[in-house]
Amino acid sequence: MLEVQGLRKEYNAFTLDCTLEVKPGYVTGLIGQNGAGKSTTFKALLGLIHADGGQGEILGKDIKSITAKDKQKIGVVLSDSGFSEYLSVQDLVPILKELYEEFDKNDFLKQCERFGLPMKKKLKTFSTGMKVKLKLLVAMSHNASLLILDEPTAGLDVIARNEVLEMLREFMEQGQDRAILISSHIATDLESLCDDFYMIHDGKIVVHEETDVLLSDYAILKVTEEQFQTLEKQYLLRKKKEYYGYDCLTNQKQFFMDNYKDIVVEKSGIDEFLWMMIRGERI
Amino acid sequence: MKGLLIKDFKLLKNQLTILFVIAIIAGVLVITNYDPSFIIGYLTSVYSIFVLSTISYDELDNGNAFLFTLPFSRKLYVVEKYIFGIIMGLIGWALATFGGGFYLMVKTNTFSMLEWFTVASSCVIILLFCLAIMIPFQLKFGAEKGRIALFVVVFALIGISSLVRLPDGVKESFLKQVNMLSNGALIGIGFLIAFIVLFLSMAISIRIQEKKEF
Repeated sequence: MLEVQGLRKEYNAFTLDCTLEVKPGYVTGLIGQNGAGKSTTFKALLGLIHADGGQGEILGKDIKSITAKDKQKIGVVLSDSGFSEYLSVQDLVPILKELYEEFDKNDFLKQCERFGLPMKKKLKTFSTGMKVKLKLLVAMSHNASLLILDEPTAGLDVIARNEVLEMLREFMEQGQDRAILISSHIATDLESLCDDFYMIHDGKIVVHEETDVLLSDYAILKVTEEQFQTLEKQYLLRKKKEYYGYDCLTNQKQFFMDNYKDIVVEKSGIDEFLWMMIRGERI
Repeated sequence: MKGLLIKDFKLLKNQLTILFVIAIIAGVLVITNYDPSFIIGYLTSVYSIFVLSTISYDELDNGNAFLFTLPFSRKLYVVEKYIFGIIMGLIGWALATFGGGFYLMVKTNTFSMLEWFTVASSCVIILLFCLAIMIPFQLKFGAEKGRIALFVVVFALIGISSLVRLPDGVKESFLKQVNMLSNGALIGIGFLIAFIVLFLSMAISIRIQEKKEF
């Protein structure tokens, strides 16, 4: 569905160098801190900025030669950009109908009603949650095969966030050949949705892992100085000094559970993993 | 293209009052015996300027980033802006030409349909030139800087043209040649030059837009 190798963009104090793949049927998460390069990656993928190097394909087409026709099959949500806020939902309908060959007007209107989006009010009067839902409904209104979603859950309350995740699950249920690339700086938002994750830091992909593996095999070991000395270091990815000794990130949870009965092994959520990967020290 | 035009007309709804006020002012000017040719030029050019406000609306709140993920090319976006500008200008032109013409026909005895439409046609040429100059500046520099850049260039051109000294007799013989042409031929040549300039301007605008990053 989407594959890029060495996608590069250079700014004065920042260089993006990104390699990632989104497979059919997959929801792939791109996680990283603010400023890690998530939005730059998305913009380079979508041709909004000109990449300085690298190659890639979206829906089988070279990313440098994506045409208007190819964009018919891609739905996009950007966190900091959308339709002019001086338009209303009612205004968007004829625009979308003309732009997208497969725009499903009836379903779009039905979904807008389902999520309580007012038809005649200008978008600038919408709440953050309403704006995000509308952006998603627009992205999903034209039978897209690939959704590229930049931080769609940012700034949402729990209810709105769950509604958004529900919308994305429904989108995936409607076809085997669909896929989503979604970013967030709060990984927990995506834990229940994504099949795999890429973690980006300082413009580079530092980890790629399946969510199941991440949740089952990764763990945080909480150890004292003495316990740390006895640990098998080859299975440790990061360590971080704490008042009681160290927190250590491992991707061999079972090994430590079997062989080190007296240490605390805590399940690593994706945010803890992210925190350790960024703030921890390499071993 | 149609989708983009619809978007711009929907955005224009926010400025209906201003459009209306501009038309009223033109109406008042007609009634107060203002130079009729000025009124056509005024309404045509002022209405066409609304294309610049749609570019500003597109740029507002980083809107361009999302806009250019939609299924159209940057080239089509630029072409649509010229077409929108021409449509708006022609709306203003038609209002002034037919509304003003009708008023003058009823009120004065000296009204000449041919003369009126000759003046009106030349206003369309001015419209095309206006768009050809305004749009690239707006796309390159944005709303505020675009206006400043436009003024600088126009004044620089006036300055340069006033400094350029043509050899003796060249200007006179050129004007003589022009005077020999009929009004129809002059307007035809005007349109031809305007369209050439407009296409050149469009090519420049497309280049500007294709280089942009959002």
